Amino acid sequence: MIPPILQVESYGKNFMLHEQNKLIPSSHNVSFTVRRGNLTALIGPTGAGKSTVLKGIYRTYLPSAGRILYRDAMGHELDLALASEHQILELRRCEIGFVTQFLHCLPRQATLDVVAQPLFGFGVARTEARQRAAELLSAMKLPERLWSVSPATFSGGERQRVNLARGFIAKPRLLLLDEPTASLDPTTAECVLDLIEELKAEGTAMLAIFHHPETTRRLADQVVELAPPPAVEERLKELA
Amino acid sequence: MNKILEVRNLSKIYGPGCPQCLDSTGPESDTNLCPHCRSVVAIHGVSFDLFEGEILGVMGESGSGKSTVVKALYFDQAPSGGEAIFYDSPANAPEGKHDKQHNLFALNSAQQRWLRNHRFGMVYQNPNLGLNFNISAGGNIAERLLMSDLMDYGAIRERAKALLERTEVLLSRVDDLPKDFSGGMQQRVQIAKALATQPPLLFLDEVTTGLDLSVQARILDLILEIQQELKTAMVVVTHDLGVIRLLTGRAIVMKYGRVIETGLTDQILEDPQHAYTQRLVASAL
Amino acid sequence: MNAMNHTTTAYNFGFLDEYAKKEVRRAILKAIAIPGYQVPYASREMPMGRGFGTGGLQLTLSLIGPDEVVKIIDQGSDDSVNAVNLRQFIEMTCPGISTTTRTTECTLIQSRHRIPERPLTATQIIILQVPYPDPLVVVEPSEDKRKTMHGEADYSRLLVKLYEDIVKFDEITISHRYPTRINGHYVIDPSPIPRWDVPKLHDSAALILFGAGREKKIYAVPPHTKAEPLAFSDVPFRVEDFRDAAGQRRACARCGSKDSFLDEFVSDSGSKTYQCSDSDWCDGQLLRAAQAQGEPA
Repeated sequence: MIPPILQVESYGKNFMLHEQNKLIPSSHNVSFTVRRGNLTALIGPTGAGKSTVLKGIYRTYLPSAGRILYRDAMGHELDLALASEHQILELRRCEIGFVTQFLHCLPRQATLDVVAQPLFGFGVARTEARQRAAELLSAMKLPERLWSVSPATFSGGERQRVNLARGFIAKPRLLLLDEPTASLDPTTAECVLDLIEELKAEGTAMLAIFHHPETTRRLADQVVELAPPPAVEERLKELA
Repeated sequence: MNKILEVRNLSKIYGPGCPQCLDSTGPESDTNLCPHCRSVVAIHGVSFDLFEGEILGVMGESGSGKSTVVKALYFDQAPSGGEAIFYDSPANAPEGKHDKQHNLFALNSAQQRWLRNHRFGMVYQNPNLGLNFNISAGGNIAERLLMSDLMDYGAIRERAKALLERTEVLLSRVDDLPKDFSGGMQQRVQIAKALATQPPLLFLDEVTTGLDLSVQARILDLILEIQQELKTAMVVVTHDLGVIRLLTGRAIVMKYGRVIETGLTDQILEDPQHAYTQRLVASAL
Repeated sequence: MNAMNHTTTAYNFGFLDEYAKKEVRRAILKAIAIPGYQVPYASREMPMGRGFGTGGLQLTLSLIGPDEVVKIIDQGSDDSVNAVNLRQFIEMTCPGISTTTRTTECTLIQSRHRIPERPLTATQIIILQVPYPDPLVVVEPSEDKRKTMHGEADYSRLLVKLYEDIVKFDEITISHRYPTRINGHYVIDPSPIPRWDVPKLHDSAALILFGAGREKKIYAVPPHTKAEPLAFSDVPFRVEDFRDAAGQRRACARCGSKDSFLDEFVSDSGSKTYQCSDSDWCDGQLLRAAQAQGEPA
């Protein structure tokens, strides 16, 4: 059997707030795997640390415990919890995508270029990259008149589609999705789900958090239920 | 990805220095002024790597020593200690020199000047430092081209115009004095000048500080566009977390001359580890 | 007080004492050894104001020997006040030497702001009086920084001056003191000679010395040394062309010469006439013309 692309073992994350001298647990003892062409969905109540897991894998959060074993395109396994910053940046550039609800971009950049950016990073010719961006945006029904302006002024739903298109365009090996359809109307959401299925069929491994349970049922190959971490919110002083 | 710059234990002390300097200064002591000999430990033990085409942020408040780091690397101020290796691509090694590694602080002043003119670029917060206000915008760029031994007037003129056009300075102003320009425009001329020799390494010291927000945004856009076009590695010094977020992939956080935290930029902003960084990030939100 | 009444015999030959001469000669040797490098020296007080050629004079007095034939010119002329005064001073303090106005006859020339039209020979030395020795002074006020710039042959800021000149006037407008690179490294201020004279520095048979009395510097262009005026590859250095409105090369109103540097004279009525700046050259041309006419057909 082909080894999984991602294997998370006993992942845990606490936040140390120095100002308040508090330790806030966010994720606790999380283990699961993600395989090529499969979608693993994280479910659980608010506060179960679903987003924390995604950010831990992307290394926006530094993990506090456990291992995050990732098998790269060359077949090498490395622990994302310990990988160097440059290794992470390289993986983000080439292999791991993350679609969040937030969009940070330059004020002047046209939407088409924002979406094509990951392909520019690969050295794909500008016209070709923009062509591919245009295809994705029209598949997501983003009006063409918006393509040449900056997404800075877009509505939540429009931004989300820009984010999704940017996440999809380079066909990453591993795609992290944090409520990708949350601000979309049902019709547009349907288009996005079709695209996710298409990408999955092409082999992308996905780890996702969905707003609607029916979306999880429709797309997920595995479901991992997270529970909120035990309330160990203790003052450091007491520990000391 | 190749390493372009390796900085190890960079240190700069103003004053006589004494054996207690290092133990009596830094974030724990909450000062960079040695109480025993009154020396200022501007930076100490600063180490980092920079890769080709990467943008590294150096953040901290005033007095953290962040500007001193780039000034030492650009040979504006000789450091008191430490080492920095610049890995030039062999294709760009000067004629007759096959050595593509440069141990920056072991070079003589002529070699340092050569690197400064040919392989490094600097954009200062104060345009007065980066530009000669007594010569035209075009002349400022010409100076840097002439330093790198381009001797054809027509070619210099064309290149100066192309650079100003790229940095969105009106071509009708190529022969005007930069002192008559707006702050944003002066920074554009500085950037054009720094880029004149297409250096693989660029230092940016608080380049948008003091500019209007809309002007700031356009300068940041320009810097990022240039980075993507030319794959220039950059060290960006700023106290502005917005600039750090928009421009940089990795960042180091400095306080009282020491590096207290280093990491991926999104990690530093969303999951800061050090108490000081947490305060810094919290106060900016 | 006695010495004052004893006229010239109370002074050493050449006015300067032998130690002073030795020091100047040492500086000259160093200047020759490092072409274009400004060698500092202990410029002496001379019995005339700084700025009247005291730098050149100290070089002349240090090099002069009893058999010397000296020519003194000021802006090409042997007869202007400054030249006459200096010549008299040298004659007075260097008994036994001879002076001349003929370029062909002299062994040592002290000159203010011109190099003679007739090419100099290997047995001649020309000493130019220099008011401002450092060409970088216009772009860098700190002498300390200027020294580093010279050491590293960093003349980009001088070239920017040329660039700005072309931008403003479509040509390089420097009329005199044209920055010139010697032996591929140091750029010198060749003293206020016109552009016309700059090519004469290149590969000169004669030794060319520069003396700045007020600024206390000596520098040299040794014989057969490369001297290149700063320029751009596509905007080359050019000498004055002396063309009139019709594009014709003006001639000297006196001798008719068309290949010499001309001075412009404006009469009271406003009309302009042109005449050789080098008076010996002009006289020589007239003499030759007279001889040619006197010859039987």
